[in-house]
Amino acid sequence: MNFSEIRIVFLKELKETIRDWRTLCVGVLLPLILYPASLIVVSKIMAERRAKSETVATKVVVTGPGATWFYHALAKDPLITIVDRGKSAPVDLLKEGKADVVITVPRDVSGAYDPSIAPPQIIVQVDELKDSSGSFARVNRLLIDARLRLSEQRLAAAGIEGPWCKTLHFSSVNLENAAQRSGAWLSLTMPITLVLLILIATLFPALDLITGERERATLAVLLVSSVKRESIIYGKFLVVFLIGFVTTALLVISVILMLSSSLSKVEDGSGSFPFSLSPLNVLLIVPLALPMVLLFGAIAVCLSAYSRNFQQGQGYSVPYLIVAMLLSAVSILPVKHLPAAIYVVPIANVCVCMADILRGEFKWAAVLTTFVSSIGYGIYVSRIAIDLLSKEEILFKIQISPTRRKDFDRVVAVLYTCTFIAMFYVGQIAQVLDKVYGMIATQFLVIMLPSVALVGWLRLPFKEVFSLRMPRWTALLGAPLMAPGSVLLTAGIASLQSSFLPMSDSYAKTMMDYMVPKDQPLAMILFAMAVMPGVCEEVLFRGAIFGLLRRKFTSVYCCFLVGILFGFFHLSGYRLLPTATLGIILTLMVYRTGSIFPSMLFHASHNALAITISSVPESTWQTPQAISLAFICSALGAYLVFKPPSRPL
Amino acid sequence: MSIEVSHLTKHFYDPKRGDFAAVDDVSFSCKHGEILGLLGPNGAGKTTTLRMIGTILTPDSGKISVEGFDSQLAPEDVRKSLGFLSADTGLYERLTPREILVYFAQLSKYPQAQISTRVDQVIKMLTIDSFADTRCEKLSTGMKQKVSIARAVVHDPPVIVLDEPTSGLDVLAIQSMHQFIQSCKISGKCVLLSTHIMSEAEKLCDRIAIVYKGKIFALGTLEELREKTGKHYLEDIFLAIVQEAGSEFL
Repeated sequence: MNFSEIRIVFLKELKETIRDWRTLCVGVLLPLILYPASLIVVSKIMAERRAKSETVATKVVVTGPGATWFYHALAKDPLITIVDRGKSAPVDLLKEGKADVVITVPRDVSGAYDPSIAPPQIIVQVDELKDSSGSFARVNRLLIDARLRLSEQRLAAAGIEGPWCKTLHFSSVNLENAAQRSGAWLSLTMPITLVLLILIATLFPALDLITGERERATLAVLLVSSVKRESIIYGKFLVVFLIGFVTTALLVISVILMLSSSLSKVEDGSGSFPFSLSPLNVLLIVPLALPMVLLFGAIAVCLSAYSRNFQQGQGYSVPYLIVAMLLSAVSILPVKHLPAAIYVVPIANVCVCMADILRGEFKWAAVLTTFVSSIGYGIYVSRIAIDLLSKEEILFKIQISPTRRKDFDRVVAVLYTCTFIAMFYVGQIAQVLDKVYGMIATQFLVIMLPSVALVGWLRLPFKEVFSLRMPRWTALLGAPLMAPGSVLLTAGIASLQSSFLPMSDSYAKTMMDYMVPKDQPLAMILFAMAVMPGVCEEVLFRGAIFGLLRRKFTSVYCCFLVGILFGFFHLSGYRLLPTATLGIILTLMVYRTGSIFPSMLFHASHNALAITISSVPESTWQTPQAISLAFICSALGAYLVFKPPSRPL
Repeated sequence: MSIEVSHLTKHFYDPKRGDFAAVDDVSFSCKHGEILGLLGPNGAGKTTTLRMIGTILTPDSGKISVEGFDSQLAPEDVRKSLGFLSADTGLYERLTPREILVYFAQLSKYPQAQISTRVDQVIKMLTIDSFADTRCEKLSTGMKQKVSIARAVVHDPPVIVLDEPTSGLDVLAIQSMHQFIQSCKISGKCVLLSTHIMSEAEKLCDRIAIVYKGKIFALGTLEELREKTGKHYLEDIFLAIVQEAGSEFL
């Protein structure tokens, strides 16, 4: 890495970016003025509304034969004006604004209980659309109090008296201090605003520095200068990162400064309180936002690399914005305790963590997890961004023939991960419905079909990727002969492994039930558990994954890599080593013979033999004679498969 | 030789055409004090060839050597030896010509202590003093073209690569560009010029390579090409060679 070159590019890009009014607007004006100002305005509006509700009288109409008691009960409040109904209907009074609340009491309710008459229904009418000063809330509070006193009065009238008839009085004490209340208030808006601002603050400079370079036709000239390409990318990336970080710092500082200086009290709708925030909490937000800036900067660079022009880049930003907003909204969910896994979900983790910090409820482990995982995501996406900007097909929007493309490692990673997840969820559901048919469906739909579709979508030649060549007849003959040896080998590895990772009896029984369902004929079991995996898993691993990876990596390295992936795919720590070993042998077989068919035969034979002997007591086949025979048979098979070809493949 | 290109090939992909050779086994060389013209229609593979020489694109096969540096092994040394210019290359609108020149001199590893003097020298040479400190967004097309030339030569490269440098320019700007190209030749630089304008190639080039569908079908001086085709005017020469090449493709 040449720091001198990076510095030259960085300084030039920074100078150019600072001279762009869009950057100034998004990166400086928005965080410095708009957001803090909007907070103040909202708080002022809420405070005014509250003040209004405390000073403006509520006009109440009490009507009906039992109105008198309520009339007296409500008239005690100086902010309630009892209005005469006249001849108007209650609804009209509300509509015309002559009354805020209308209470209709059908009969006198102050007398003793009469068990023969149903309790009267008192109707309180209000037009909530017009209720801007909280009239209903005020009247309702009085009515609750009046109802309790009325009950006491009616019990007394019925001759039921005593201390147990008195209403219980509750008084609530809020232990939340001003700092916590201020933090909770800010936590509702600040993380989301920060995400939005960082996103915009990184996206616009990235589009200007990368897509703009293409649009202004300065890219070729820059690339033909003697500076290293990675220095150009790092220089540009640093500017994007710096602007994102400055925006974050400005937002945090300006919010704190404005709220501390302009507002002695903050209003959150339920009351006002003095604004106060712990300096530690404020300081923690800024470094916590760093990895998010890194991540957003890298995503912005990726989007800019793909965009042909500024307009297209802005188009790409819409789905990106929606996803980011949805993830950040997790921080305002009305859930007290979110699962701990949230601290590794990108974007959501930083927002939740920030909200925790602002409320003063954070745990250092969660902060550390958020920081480390976000840095990890940021570095990973940055690597992708740098890779993208090094590709000539991305830089100049030219297309390279699929047959000439080599870099399919990320495509393989996506295919493997998606298939893994789909097998875990879809496969399990299908096999719960029906073990054998579920297995067949999983093999075909989840394992084989996506890999075939992917290769088709990439417009790659099927014959080459899936090694669809006829092998030597000796390889076809030798492949199934290797099965006894491979069954013994995997059994031996499993036994060796059990000395340090013993398999529980319940797991062994579950595995046996899974592999050999009792209620199915053997032929059906063999088809589902041997033939289908032999074909479908080979198409995925020795076909798509091996066929794509070996375009970039050496074949021997690929054999081991594919074998290990095959091991992990079997979703069990107990089966990892045996299946990974089998996977390596299978991949070496395809590499050696140049064809997928011997590996299919070998895989199916291995599974079929393993299933068949699993129902036979071990003592009948683990004899010296059987083991010797298996060894000879497998050695012959291995010779036929792996022997050097008489002519080049 | 200053530039040596041998058996250069580059394939691209198009959903309609499939895999095709944009540059197909191209070989040529150019020495100091010589102007070599790559003459061909649009899409002939001229820009792709020049981009490979500029190490912006990687060849599928073949070898490029610039000032003795291999483009695959020492791409930065190759780029340091090149001044690259095309009519459609833009400028950084929010920077001034002086800032752009300093930036490219720094990128090209021009000795730091001499950058200021060199920039002043280039500014004076190309008469851009009056607008050297005005942002490029406020400059006229002619002014911008001068700045582009200055940017290409600010690090005093021995090799100048020009990709359709007069395309879209007015007569005065074309005249100024032609003067610049000839001055490069006089100062002993190796000039590789791609163009589809016959008169330009005829006027400026010492040797001309006729490029069509990614291949070079003829290479030589104007006299040699006349002899080969029996035609006098370059336009007729070009058509004769291209028609012959077309029948080959059929």
